[in-house]
Amino acid sequence: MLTFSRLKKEYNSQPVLSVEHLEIGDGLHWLQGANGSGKSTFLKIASGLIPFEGDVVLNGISLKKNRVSYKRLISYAEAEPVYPDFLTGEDLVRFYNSVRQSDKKWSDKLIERFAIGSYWRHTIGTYSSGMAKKISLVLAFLGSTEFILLDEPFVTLDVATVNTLINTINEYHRQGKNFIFTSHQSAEMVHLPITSHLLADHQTVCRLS
Amino acid sequence: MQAVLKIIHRVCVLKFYERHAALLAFVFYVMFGLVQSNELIDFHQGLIFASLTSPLFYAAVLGVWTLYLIKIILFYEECFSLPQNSILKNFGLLAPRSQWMIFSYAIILAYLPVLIYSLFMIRLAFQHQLIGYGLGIIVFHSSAIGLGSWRLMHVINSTSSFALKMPRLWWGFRKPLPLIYLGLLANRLKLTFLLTKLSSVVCILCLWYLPVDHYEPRLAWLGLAFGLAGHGVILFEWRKFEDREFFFSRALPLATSYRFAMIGVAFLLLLIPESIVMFAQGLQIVDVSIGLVIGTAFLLFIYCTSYRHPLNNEQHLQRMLWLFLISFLMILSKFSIPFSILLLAVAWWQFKKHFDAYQPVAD
Repeated sequence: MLTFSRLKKEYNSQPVLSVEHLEIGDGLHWLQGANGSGKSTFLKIASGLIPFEGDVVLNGISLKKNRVSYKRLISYAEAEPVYPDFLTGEDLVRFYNSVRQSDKKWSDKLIERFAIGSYWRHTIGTYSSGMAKKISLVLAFLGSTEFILLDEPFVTLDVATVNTLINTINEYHRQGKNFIFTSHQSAEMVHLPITSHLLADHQTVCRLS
Repeated sequence: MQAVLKIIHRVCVLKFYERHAALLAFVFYVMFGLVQSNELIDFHQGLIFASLTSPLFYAAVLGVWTLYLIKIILFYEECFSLPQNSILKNFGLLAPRSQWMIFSYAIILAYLPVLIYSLFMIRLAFQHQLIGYGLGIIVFHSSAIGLGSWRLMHVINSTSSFALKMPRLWWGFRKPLPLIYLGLLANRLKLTFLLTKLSSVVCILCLWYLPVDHYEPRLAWLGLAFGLAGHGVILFEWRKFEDREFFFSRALPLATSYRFAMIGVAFLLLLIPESIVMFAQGLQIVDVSIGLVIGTAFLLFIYCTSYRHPLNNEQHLQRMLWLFLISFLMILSKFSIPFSILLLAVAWWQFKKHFDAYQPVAD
């Protein structure tokens, strides 16, 4: 259970997001909203990437009080990932493996599944946006997380990779992992067993169904 | 021709100054901001005269200019290789003489700070009958601009990949945090790193060889303090890197104390060249270690206190200068160790307080 309470976020003294109370239970959750409605900000806050007022609690662990334990349980893939261009995909996967104490065999499996083995030893500066996106998705699937937050995960991917991603999400979900996706697309297009729909609108996030 | 010059001016020259504004501002600050205005002319006359009378100093100056010129050429080659600048390939259709003039113009504009300072050097050389040195500067700059233009002509007319390939430093093992920071220097800031270390080593040697009749490690530490003040660009670039490309790491489960320690290790590794020089000059191991502690504490303090506000180059340089002046006084007053401990404590306190609450830029 992911609980947001009295959450407030401002950029340059301009309020951009405010959530009084929201509970997101286990399952697959689809977060929709127009451009600039605060979807990405909401996920960045939940992942611990940016500072905010209020608190987010995951299964009793507070992000504000116990940052490291909280971040072990949650991972996040950005809509347009940015990584140091002098590092390789391999460097990043190894770095994540060590920080998230992830099993190397599992990362090897993901590399094979997402077909990044042919270029992951090249520097990120040589990657296309789709290649960088695949790396970011592999990184999000590493470690013993309970919630995986994916911002626009189906954008810039080819059809084969979209199918791989859907299969991986389903597999992780069967293992008891939970997801929040943001997307402009409708949930029906990707054939995932969505548990609830969330809406980002008017600087807040609420449950639709 | 005017239209062509306008394009190269906007696409290459202005971009060069934008990209290197921090480095140039820092060099300007060191050359003109550290000296009192009424002593400025005497200081520079002394500096120029020293470089014109010592062959070693003269060679070092030419070496630094060569590095700056290489930086300009590499930057322009990078500009040519960018897909959005593919319009520049059309320059290859111009007559060779026109091409040469266009590239000379572009190099001269970026090389202007060096050329202006050189004019004063040449004037002083002729005034003091050091004609050989003066002519040497003229020949050096003419050849440098000529060769640079020739290189750019070759690149623009070549059908192969544009960018000059610099050797990429690569480690085949998992990179811990400090090596990721150092990787930025090894891959993207080679020249800045080289110049910073060179100036740092020169400062240590200059102070260490001051005539005193007994063993005095404080001289090397004072030189180190000068050298540390020159690390402003590296620190600023590291922080910028953290705010942009390495921002994703904030979502990783890394303890604040671990991050602080790893940044400290990165600074320790960064100061290895200075440690080697101090050791090679006969400083005892204990004194070299104290020098390392002073250096790490100095850099950590500047780094960790920068999380209070979004990055600002001017404030950053001012803080560097103030800390340098205070450190200088503390080393002179034999307070190096307690002062370093105090700096480390404040650095940790500031890092713990501000790192997680830091918001670099609005989305």
